[in-house]
Amino acid sequence: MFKKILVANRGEIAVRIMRAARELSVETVSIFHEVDREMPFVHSADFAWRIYGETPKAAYLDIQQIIEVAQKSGAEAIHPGYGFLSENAKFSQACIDAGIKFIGPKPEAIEVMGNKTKARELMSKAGVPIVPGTQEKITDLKKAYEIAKKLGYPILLKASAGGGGKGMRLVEKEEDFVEGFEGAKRESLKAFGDDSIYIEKYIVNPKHIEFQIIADEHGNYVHLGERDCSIQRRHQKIIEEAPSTVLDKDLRRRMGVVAINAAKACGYVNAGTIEFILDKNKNFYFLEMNTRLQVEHPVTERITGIDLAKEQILIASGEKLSFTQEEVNWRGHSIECRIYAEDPFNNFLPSTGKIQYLREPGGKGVRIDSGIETGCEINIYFDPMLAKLVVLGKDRLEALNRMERALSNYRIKGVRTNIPFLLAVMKHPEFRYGYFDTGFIDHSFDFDVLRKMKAENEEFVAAIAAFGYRMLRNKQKPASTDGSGKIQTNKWKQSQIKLRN
Amino acid sequence: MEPLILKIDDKEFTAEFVRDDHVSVWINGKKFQIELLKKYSENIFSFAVDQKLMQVQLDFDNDDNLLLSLDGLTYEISITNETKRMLAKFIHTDNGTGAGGNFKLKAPMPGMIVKILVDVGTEVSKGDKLVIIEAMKMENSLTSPVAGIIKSLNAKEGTAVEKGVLLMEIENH
Repeated sequence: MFKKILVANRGEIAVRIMRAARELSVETVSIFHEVDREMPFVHSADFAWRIYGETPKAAYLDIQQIIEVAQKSGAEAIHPGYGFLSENAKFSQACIDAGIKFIGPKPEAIEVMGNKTKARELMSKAGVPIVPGTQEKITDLKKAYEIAKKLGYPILLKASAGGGGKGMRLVEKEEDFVEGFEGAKRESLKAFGDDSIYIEKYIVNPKHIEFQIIADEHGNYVHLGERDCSIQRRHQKIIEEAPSTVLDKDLRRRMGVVAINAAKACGYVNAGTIEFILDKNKNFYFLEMNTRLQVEHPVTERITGIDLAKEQILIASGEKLSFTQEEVNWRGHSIECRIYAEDPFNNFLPSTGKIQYLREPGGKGVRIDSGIETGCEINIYFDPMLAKLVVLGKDRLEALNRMERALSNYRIKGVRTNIPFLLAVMKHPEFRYGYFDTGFIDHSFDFDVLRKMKAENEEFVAAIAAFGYRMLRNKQKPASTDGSGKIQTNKWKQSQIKLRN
Repeated sequence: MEPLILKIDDKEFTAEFVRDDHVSVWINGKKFQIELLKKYSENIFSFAVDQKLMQVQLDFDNDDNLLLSLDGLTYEISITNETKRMLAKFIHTDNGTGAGGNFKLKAPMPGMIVKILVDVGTEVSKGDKLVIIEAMKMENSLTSPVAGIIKSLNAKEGTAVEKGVLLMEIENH
């Protein structure tokens, strides 16, 4: 087993990995850019090394620098988390070259699965069902236009280098193609430094079902069942759960076998995820493979009792999987909500500012993987996800009620969050009954319920506002003064007031 | 104390107090009893309103505007009274949305202007896309909240903007 590992990431996932390492008595090294100096993840490690970059993000993407820190700090292995360098084959290779163990798959597997075209070819050969679409990357508008026409609308444009919804566009009709294609190219160039696009037929409102697989270096492959990640906004997952409400035992077994075949086809080692889309007739198609730990891995952990982050470290240190497929049991129902610093009342615009107060829910069946604490600053440099709230219930109904309870006890002051929106989804009858697909937000969710939620408490709010005004404002600001009696100077809030008038 | 007029997200409420009663407030004639149970910090409090517990953040600015956040919901409240309202009628203050005035589109967050979809003189309807701004790796479209004509354009494609920076002015129809 390793003595010390470096976590090449930030935020909640860095904390998550450090917790796992500590339980294995492995020391951890954090790396941080100056803007993150006070963030909890830095201080969750045993050692902290400062890294530099033209932008904060660039620092976390600097392969050379991170490898050097790993060597200087005496770390024997690097865990990349998700995002950043986690699916970068060059990084995985650079680790090998430097004699450092990369906690994840081999560069060849990352390379092939990271390339949508090659991945489709490989999957097709391995007998994994795929969605009709282009075989080659495209940058030329005219050519793309022709292909889209041939496939028939609606079509989906995807960054060929990408993942996680970045650079992805749905084009429903021919006249929107040019704008969509250019937007997808721009976003994908920004996010991945590559503007080639991949076009495929769009399956209208499928379910997003993904399978967690795990493999050791001794040729043992196990799947840990599915996660339903169908609740998405702009192709970004928001709520995930396991098990899915639509899979029966037989379908789970069949999809599991396909997932394992997909992993075997690329010689996969460590934890990975095979994403499928499932149509109304329960046909499933390979979407992509994520060659890393997923944001939503905790729902699988909760119903299987397996600690994926720990297993990753054990596998990388050469251990065999400690369980067989037959020994994997699923128990209860788990739901995860991603808590974002986004304003659901203003088109989900990212919200920045200082966390002035934080109280996390607790109690039975509640787990929080968080990257924030009181006093820390939420800036524009990184993804606006603050934390993940994960509940476990004996069944789906208990999990739903527990999530509702936990969300309404989650207090974050200082930035606006999507919590009211998540609460509204938990209360939505179609979601509660389990009838939902990836079109839920667009077709079933009525944003008016958010306004109604606000209206419910308006009289109470008026009472508090008036009382608070008398208590704070009136006393401190006699009529003659110039306003120096103001009680706080939260600039971002002031600008938001002005913005909305 | 003169009754207060509260405007909460475009709805009006009157709030009245009675001399020597420090625990009651009448909202539109309905009585509420309030007690401050706990002060967490300068601006975060726990109140019991008719015994119902409510944890709120209260942020006042200089103009008696209040941002009140409760259970993750943020209410924008302006507080005034009849006297102040009368005064305001005489002293015209341009807050950006006077009748027939101009709407000022400001950057809602720091970010990069990736695309501007209008020019000076373009006629826009409510809901039309005006600017695509990128922040936190995502592109966000800013749409027009009013119908009108683009009067001035301060934003440039490919440039970074701070939050609150004026991007364009739209002359209301």
